[in-house]
Amino acid sequence: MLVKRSESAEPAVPHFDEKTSVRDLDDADPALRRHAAQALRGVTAVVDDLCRRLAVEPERDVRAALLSNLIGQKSAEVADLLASIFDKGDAALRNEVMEALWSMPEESIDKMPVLLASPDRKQRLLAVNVLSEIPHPHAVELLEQVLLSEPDVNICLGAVDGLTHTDDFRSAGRLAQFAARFPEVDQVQFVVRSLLRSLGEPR
Amino acid sequence: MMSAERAGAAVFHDFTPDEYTRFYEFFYQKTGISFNEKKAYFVKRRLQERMSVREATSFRDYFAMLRFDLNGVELQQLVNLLTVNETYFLREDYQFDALVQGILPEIAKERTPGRVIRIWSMPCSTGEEPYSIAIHILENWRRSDEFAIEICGSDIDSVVLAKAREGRYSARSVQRVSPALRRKYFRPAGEDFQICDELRESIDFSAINLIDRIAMARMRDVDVVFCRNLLIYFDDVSRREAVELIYESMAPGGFICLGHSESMSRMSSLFRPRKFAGTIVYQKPQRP
Ligand SMILES: C[S@@+](CC[C@H](N)C(=O)[O-])C[C@H]1O[C@@H](n2cnc3c(N)ncnc32)[C@H](O)[C@@H]1O
Repeated sequence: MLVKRSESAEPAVPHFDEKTSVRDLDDADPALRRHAAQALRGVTAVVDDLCRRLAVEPERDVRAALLSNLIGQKSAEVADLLASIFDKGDAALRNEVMEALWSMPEESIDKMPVLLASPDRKQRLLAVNVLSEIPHPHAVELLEQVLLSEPDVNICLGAVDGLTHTDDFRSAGRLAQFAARFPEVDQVQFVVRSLLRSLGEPR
Repeated sequence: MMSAERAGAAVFHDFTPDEYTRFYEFFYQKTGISFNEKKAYFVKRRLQERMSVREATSFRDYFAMLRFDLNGVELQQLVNLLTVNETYFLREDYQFDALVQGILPEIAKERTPGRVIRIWSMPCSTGEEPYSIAIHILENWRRSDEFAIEICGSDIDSVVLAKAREGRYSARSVQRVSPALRRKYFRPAGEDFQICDELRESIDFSAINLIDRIAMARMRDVDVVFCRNLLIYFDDVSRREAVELIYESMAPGGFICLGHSESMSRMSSLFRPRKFAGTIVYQKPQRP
């Protein structure tokens, strides 16, 4: 049976107070935390509060609201903050941070050389993961650089993987140089050999 | 050689890049709708049309009119000109099959008879979608009498909503409705078709902007949302925001149906994809 919806009351315009909303980000009630993340859209002064909360927030839907807010405010500062919480949580957080960085390529790309030069292996791994899918023309160049200078072989293999996903991967020469850096590592030799073969360059 | 745009400039106001950017940003912020570079010419032409109608002699005058127009009528006119609000009865009706074969039976399992099941067509444009949903349910869901089914339709544009409330449709709009159903749910009105009063009076139409958090708070506990053929105009950021506001409006375990070229995977991971009658719909988890 069809029934007409009874007239809904006009929703009360919630009073917005920045300080209260920032405090609510840490409230025990997830609904309040989510509302706070939404109410703080576009408030540039609070991006570090949002990131700090994102790093510890257990609820998926609150995290989604925090991320939408941060992505909507994309800036070099937001990219920086996101990179700094990358390894503060679980795999879900890592994925979300990457997704967010992909969605702000212009703001993220400058951060990547800094991450790649970090002594912290996790930061370099993040950079390789971000570069593998970021829609930016400099990504290929930076990934190729990883093949030539990154000491950790697994991060290099991550970069190879990333390069194979990019459309303009033509770096057969770089691959050969990479293989020469790790002559003892069978997996490297195998991966490079098969890639060169598929690129039509027998080695 | 003169480009088409240059040739037009003799007749039309040529917007400076700064004017265009100001307009673009304002419109995007208000509606979530985003245009790429390729659309700039089309957008400028439409803006020009509105400037003529409103007799604005400069962009500045027109822009002031647009920004300080309290009831938002001018903005609605622009939305109307800049997006397609064409819709028709039984569009993408495989989703209505999913509704009656999978979604409603699943919702009904958990609900005592007599209780409300709330369905929301957002955006509904001139109303064909919510009326189609009503007809499809009445015709094809045998338990429809056991529940109080509320169907609501919303759109940003009050002009299309007035047409929806009126319920008078052209032959083209009802093309996909069988003659038997036309006889049952419409009566002839000149060349047109008038939706029967029973349906007309049972659907609630309201003006809501999908990206307006406060207006969206009017809708709560919705069991099924149809959000089709609007998100294609949004960019990634406004899509994410829109989907989150829809999430808020839904009951736990509720479902959302998107248009055929729209997929949730790039917008949100909050929903679980489900397949009914060969089509993918998305479900809000019972618990987050
Ligand atoms: C093509 S119609 C979709 C109608 C129907 N859902 C369908 O699929 O046939 C798109 C509608 O979106 C409406 N619209 C545009 N921006 C909107 C917004 N921010 N909030 C709500 N509706 C909006 C337009 O007014 C238009 O009526």
